[in-house]
Amino acid sequence: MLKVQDLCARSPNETLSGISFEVPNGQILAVVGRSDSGKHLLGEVLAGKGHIISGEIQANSYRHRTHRQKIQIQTGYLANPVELEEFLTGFELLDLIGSLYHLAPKDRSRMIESLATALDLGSYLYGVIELASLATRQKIGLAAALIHSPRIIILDEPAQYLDFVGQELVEKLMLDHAREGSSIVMITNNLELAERLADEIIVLDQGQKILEGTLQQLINQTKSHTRSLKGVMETVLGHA
Amino acid sequence: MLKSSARYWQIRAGQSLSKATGLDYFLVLLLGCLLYLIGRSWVGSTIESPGVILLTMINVGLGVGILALWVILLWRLPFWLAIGSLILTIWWLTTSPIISTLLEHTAQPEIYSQLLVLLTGLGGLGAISALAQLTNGYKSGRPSKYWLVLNHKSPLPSYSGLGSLVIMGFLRILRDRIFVAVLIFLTLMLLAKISGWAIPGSWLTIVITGIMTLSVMISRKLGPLASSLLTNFPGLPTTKGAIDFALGITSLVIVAALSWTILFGLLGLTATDTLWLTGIFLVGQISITLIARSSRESAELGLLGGWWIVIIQLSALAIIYQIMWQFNLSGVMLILLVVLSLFVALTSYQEPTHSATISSTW
Repeated sequence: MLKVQDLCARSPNETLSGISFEVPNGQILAVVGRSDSGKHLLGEVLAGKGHIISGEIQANSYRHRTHRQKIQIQTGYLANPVELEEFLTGFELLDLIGSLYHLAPKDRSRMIESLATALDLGSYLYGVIELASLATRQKIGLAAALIHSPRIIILDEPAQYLDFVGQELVEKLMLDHAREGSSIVMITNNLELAERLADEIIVLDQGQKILEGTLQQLINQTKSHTRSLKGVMETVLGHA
Repeated sequence: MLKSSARYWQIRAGQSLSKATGLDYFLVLLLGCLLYLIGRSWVGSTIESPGVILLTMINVGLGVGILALWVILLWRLPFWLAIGSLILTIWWLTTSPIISTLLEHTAQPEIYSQLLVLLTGLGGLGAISALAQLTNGYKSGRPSKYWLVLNHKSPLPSYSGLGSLVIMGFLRILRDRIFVAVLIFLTLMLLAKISGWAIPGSWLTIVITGIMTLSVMISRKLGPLASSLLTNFPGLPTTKGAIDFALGITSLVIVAALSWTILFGLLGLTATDTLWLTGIFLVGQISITLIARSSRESAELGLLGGWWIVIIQLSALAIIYQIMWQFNLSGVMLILLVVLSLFVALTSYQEPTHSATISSTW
């Protein structure tokens, strides 16, 4: 379970002001909003990358202030954009990340094989990342975020650069992890993906949470004219 | 029939190669030790200095390795092209004055000659690696199955990640085209000098300039790696200091292999000098690490997994130095043993302070 209370943070482009939410085990929370609404910064802060001004992050029994490392090791983070070590092959990178998480060689081998199959990496796993397509890089980045079977998963635009087949694979992988009990925070501009996968959705605007609930609750709250997340966003944030 | 047979052997060679280059360190180490012992008993009767014996063995191994890599490289070409290239290679090897000069130097029981052959061999290895890049479909953008003949498909035997980082550091250097190009250039200069061509500059100028250039490139390549890893994977249970430490070891190994050997040969550094240099460097590195560990955050992360492991490792290193001191082994031998002991220390199992496996409290 991931619990965030009154979180305030700042980066050169984004701010977060008093954000609170909770993601129970096995649930997917989608964070949506305009560009620079603070959702990217939220992902960084949850992954332990950004600096927190005030507020509290709690992962099950661990509090960020006292057990930061214990939270971080149980967190998997897909950055946006994902920047991987270009000189390594996908396999080598996953092996390196797995070993840094203290996974035994046998476990690493099993996890790499499992993730490569789930994401249909095929022979691209053994190609140098420098030569890989954006879609392959995205898949390798996602595999690296999940190699240690984290219980808190923060994914910033997990399906970007992927075709419809790749998106389906990522969706299935996320649902599998949720089924196994992980709490997933998905930061995305892909509203259809959020609709399909999220148990709950929060809408950020200028660093503040302006809406929270299931899709149905958001539609009811905003009295949106169309029964979609896009309609909700247009109602509360206005047209482009 | 012939084609299918060639294909069969191509596949077999590929599988063997995958196994052989799967970085199975213990096997390689074992074979290396055996080869060394056999070689020592064979060569030892005519050459007195253990440093020269070691260098001779390394050079012979390097030569055999380069030839084997070349054959493996040819194996990936179409069958008749591979056979043609092989015949051409054999003809060149048997008639080239460069090769005969190199063989003469290899047979010389002098450290100076052995160092020249070593540098030339390293350059040759770089050249073969560069060719491997081209034949791996690097230009065409196809995923390469065997990248620089070092692509491995099974996990490294590292539990703490630091051993993996050392290997990745090596790959970072070996896969840099500019580094390979500089290495080839240095080799060509040495080859030209060996062949008696009028190259401006003394041996010392060429070697020192080359090594300095390579050292700067190594630092520039490995420096940003820690920040890059931690930016993209902030949850990794390690610190920038720990990653820098592992990559520092990588730099040390590469630079030491090139420069300390040369300094030992050309400037006449004694084994005792090298011992002190190595000792001072390692004590410095370990002291910095221990001081860093005293802060609360570093202590929580645990660079080496616990104080007792640090004490054991320090004791092991002290014993190794004591043995080296007592037996008065050469600097080259000492460096090799230090590198091996560090490698073993870094890749051996270390109890993590945090486990990535989730406890039942979840």
